[in-house]
Amino acid sequence: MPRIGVFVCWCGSNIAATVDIGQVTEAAAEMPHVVCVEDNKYTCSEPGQASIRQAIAQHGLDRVVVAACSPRMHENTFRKTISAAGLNPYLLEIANIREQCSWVHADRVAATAKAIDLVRMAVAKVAQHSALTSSTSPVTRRAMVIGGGIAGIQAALDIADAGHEVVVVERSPTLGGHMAQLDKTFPTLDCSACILTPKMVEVVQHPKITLYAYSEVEKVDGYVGSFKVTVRRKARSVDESKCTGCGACWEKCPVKVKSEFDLGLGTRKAIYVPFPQAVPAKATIDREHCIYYLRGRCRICERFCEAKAIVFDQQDEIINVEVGAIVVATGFQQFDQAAYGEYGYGEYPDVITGLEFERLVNASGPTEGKIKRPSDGKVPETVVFIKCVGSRDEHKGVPYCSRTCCMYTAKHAILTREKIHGSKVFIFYMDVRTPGKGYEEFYRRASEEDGARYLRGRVSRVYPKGGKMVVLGEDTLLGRKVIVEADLVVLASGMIAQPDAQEMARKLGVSYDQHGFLTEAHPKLRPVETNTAGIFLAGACQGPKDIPDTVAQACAAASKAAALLNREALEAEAMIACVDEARCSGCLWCEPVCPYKAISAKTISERVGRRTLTRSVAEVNPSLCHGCGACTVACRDSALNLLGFTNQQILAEVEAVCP
Amino acid sequence: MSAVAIADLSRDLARLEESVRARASELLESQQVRMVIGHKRAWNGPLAVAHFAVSPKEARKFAAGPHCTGGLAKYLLEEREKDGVVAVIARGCDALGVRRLLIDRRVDAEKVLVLGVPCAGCLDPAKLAEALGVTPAELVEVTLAAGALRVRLAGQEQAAAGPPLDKVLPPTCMACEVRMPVEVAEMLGGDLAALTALAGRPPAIDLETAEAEVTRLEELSADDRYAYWAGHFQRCLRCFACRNACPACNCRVCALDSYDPKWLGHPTEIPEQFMFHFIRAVDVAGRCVACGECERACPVGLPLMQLNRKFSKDIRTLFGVDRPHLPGEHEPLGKFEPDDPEEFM
Repeated sequence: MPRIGVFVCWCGSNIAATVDIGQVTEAAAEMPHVVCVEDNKYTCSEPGQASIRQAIAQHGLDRVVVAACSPRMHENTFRKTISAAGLNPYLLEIANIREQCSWVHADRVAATAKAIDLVRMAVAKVAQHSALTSSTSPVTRRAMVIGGGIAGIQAALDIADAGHEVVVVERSPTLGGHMAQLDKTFPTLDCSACILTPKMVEVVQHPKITLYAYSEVEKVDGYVGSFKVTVRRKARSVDESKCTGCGACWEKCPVKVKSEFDLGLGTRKAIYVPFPQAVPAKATIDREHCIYYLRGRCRICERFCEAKAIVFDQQDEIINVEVGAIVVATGFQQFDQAAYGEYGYGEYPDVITGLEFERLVNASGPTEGKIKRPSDGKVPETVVFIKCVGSRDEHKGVPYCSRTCCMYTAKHAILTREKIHGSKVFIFYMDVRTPGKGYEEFYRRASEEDGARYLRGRVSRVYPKGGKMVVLGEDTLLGRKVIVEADLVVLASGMIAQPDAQEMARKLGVSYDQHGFLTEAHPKLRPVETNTAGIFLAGACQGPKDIPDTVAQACAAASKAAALLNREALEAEAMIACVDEARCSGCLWCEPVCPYKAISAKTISERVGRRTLTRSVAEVNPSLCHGCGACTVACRDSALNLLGFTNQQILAEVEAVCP
Repeated sequence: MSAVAIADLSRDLARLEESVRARASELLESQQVRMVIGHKRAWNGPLAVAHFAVSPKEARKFAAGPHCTGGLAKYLLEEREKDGVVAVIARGCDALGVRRLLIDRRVDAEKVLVLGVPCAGCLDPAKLAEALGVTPAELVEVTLAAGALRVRLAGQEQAAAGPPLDKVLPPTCMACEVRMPVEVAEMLGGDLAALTALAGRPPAIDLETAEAEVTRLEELSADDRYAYWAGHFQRCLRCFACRNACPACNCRVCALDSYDPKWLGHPTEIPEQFMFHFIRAVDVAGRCVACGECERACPVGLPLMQLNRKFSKDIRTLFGVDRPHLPGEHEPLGKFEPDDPEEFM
């Protein structure tokens, strides 16, 4: 027979003001199997917990009910309390008489009756409880970082510095990401490449880091501590171990292609490195444009390669990597301007995006840092910047703020004024948002010292007229129309999720929001974790971010990953689903409802009459199961039960409250 | 349906019957299958019973026609632990029933051969008796002949002309959308112009008409609706015929039979009867193949398909899936999709 102790908490006046504690304790004393009832002013206090421990020893209790606040508050506290007194921590049930009773009711009589019912249910349920133990699984002490932009680079370096192996997977031929394309960085105006490239080099030089550039994650199996990742190393047509990055091949290559790195404003060759400081400095053949792949002739690069590194028949290579933690740092893409036909992007060459402006103003860019307009190479005298193109526009773009555009537009204005003496800069804006250290001062510098003219209002149209771009806008502060004849128009494009972010999320089994950004487990308290244990987020894949925030988040994700990898073994959840094989029909309708891919089929043999038959049944992986209970609802056979919330336990509660 | 069409139809049915017998004999003779499940004429009544032929000789007893009413898919569960292939003579509803068992992994696809037959509908003996002004027990033999059904009543030597078949079909057959079965290994009967043409026609009543009663019940007040169902459920015998006939009720251990946990209380209590019927209806929700077997099997005539139709109507209006039981359709319940709304997580 179970021996149950009931501990009713006053929670100061939080419960006691609305619920008659005396009546609850009296009623509890009469409930089946209850051998001891006590009340405490604050059961969670140390004296309160001590009274539970004493009662367990004194009355030989083997099960405990605490009638107090929500189990989300103190279930763990009391589990530890009874555990310290020698009971299995799961032989506990919380009756929530605060959030679900005293806080939501005013009528003392009715609230007291309800509190008694809640205690009766908890007593009936705990009588059915059994001791639970959790399994442990070992940790593979290696992390994978997906994405080699600044977020991925920072996360990889931090995890590696913590002493763990790191595998970085980057899908383009080089590390660097968007940060490598930028010119100066706000608010200090230090050169982006100058602060980034040392870190890129550090990644390849770090003894703990393995870099797979020009590679993509194909599949992710397994679970926290033991992920199995399939990586496709795309064929570069160049032997990475031999290529010295000398450049002879791309100097001789006869094919010119628009450079992705320069956003089509410059050219590269069919065999190329994306930019001079690329890491790894290994050439890649673009098979879509290489004459040899198109027509079967040429091979000039092969002839001039002294290292004999060109391998025309190289194949994609599939490799399997086992890791214990994954940091996702897949970044963002620029908002597609096609939605704003009235601004003429794509139609008029002198309407460009902010990122394209970065290439124009960059010393290693196609114009060698001289701002020249794309149509005729003339140095613009009047430049118009239009902010919030795509951002904060529910109709044509996205409802959120992209967080970087106010600052980079201020930077663009400063750079324009600095590089083109006597130039005029107009900035159309909705609001100026500068929440960051030194940001407001930087904006002030642009508008007050560097003479950028900020006009509050939207632009309705941009059209060409006599070699100029006419910008029709409005200054809502003065309440009048503004017409600017500009030489160059720059659209401050918002940040949106990568086109394949959802596909990546599905591979990883993490969730994403309506815009395709990966979702953190809690917006405030678990900002870099995902709902899938062992997978962490860094950078703009989680939402628009500037470089300082991205780096901070990457460091946070790295510390979470490193903390995980530091552990000897992982303790799995004890309250998980379990399968009654005798009942299981093997229909496996539980498998597709499981959000954690924790259920799979298992074949069992059993004797039927004189024959041994095999059949399949469901099996729950205790390391993956989060105990959400979705499978137990899908199971028509009642073969799946959630330990700690079994069908029998819930029925006992129902029977207790509706006898 | 014109008289000529009926004449052609009865000829087609005779051909179909012969084709079923021939193909079954052939499969058993060559030992390609261990058993063929179909219908045969009963010795004691107008409706055919299930027939399990294991030899070519037994295959000669197979029958086809509107008197072959009971569903056949569920019998595969009895054979699942034995070796060898079992063939099923499947009308549309049977084929969907087999499909249900396959999707629920209760039957191995390699151990089933589905032989499709076109179906003109299966008569409802209560409706037929009512049309003739007799009790169902007085019906002895029903055949489809030129003109209309021919019915022999108890105490009569000769069969007399009865009502046309389409006047005595149960609502499920009238709303049937699979009179040409889907997902079958082969179709039997060859060129059956009249039967195929009839089976290819749109259902006699559309979805809305079939759900008219559901809509009426939805519009009742909660008390009136309770009174309606309480009135029906108090007649329930708890014989579980509805469950036994249903191809979607295929659990290894049925919740209704379970002692621990004991989901069901005593049958004399109306709330327990509600519990029983809700468990049944909820367990087949989204998986019901709309064969109407539950309702047909019920000895006290409970309108069980109304519960099933209520769920299919809700699935349509809430999830936008019209017919989750048909091939190619998305099964909306019991699946985690990455795009699912996450309010509950």
